[in-house]
Amino acid sequence: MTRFSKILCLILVLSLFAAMAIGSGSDSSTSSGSGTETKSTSAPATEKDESPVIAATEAPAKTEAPVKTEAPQSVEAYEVGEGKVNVYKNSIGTYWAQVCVPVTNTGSCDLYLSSGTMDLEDADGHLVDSLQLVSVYPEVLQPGETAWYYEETTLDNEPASELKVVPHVDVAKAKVKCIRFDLSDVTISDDTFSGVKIVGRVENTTSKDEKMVYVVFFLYDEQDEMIGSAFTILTDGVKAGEKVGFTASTFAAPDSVTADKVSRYEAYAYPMQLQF
Amino acid sequence: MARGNALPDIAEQRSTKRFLISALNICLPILAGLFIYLWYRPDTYLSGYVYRIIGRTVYPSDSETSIILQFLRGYAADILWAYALMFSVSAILGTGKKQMWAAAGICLCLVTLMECLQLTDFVSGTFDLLDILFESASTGLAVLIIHLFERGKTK
Repeated sequence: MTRFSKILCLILVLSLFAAMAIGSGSDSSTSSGSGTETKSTSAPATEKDESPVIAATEAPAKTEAPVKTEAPQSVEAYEVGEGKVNVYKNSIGTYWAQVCVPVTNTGSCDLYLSSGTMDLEDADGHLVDSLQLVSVYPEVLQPGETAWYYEETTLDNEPASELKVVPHVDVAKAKVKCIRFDLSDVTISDDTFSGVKIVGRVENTTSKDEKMVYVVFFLYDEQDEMIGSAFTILTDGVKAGEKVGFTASTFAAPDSVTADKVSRYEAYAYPMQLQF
Repeated sequence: MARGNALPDIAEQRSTKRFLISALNICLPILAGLFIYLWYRPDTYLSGYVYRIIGRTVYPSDSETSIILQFLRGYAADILWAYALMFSVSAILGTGKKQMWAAAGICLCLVTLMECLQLTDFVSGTFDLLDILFESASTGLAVLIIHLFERGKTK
């Protein structure tokens, strides 16, 4: 090897390693964690091999590629999708509003979602109601997954116009580990009076006993629209390795939400995890 | 005649062996370092680029903070890459005593320079004296291994 070749190779090698060293620097510029509001309502991000999504029926679930932002290298990134407010009247004449707001983890680290505030506005932008402490499921969100802020609440009067939701979400980088339990023997049926009932088993696959376990289902119709949520909390807990049965049901979902309308569902089972 | 042919064969075998050992000592640490970054440091440019290329993250979402894990996240990849750098430079300059000193000097200069650049806005990251110490030790280990290998060959 000539002297010139040696110098050239040396420069190349040193440049390569310098580039590697620079590349291994923290990408702090995109780690602010600021959520970006979007108007798109993409199908929920579901990676079959990672998420605990279980197909509800034989009908094939619409599985689009996970939602990715422009900068997937960012530590904390999420998108708040277009929320929807569905107003309906129940059998005794009470007006209800079903409020759903999706939040997708578009970053590369787990996020922790806390309850948020949902402002309901009419078509003119006037505030009609403000829902405090709206729950979100699941609380710990892995990259690519979509959580839902979901609330069913009564309205004082029939709204004069269509309502829209202005979400105020609370998202932070997760300090707790994402724990998910396995679900099995899941069957979905109509509940006695209205809504949907889901029966199944949840298995604590960890080595730790859990005192309080959440099981939540998001129900989708044939158009892949989220139409409701079924939910239960196992307050007796689930011991390590134990498999326990559960019954989840919708709270006050519209009468239109029936078992045969459910084309697929997303299910999450996880222990209560607090983050301070 | 047969003896005359055997000598170049031995030299060629030694050359091939040296090349293979150098290649392994360069490639394996680089790949291992890359794996550590992808697996444990999703907040780096490097991981971001790779995630973008493969279309998904491989971060295991493990929030445990054991000392071993902290060491892996903070230092292991840099240590491996400093080791690979020393082998790369010595492969170019040669493995004589002077060349080895020169190679080690160049590596230590680059390591220190890159760490000091983190004090500026030019390179992101946090200046850490331990980084320099660990990478220097890694370079020293590489020098020792090359030296032992060369000594073993000449015996």
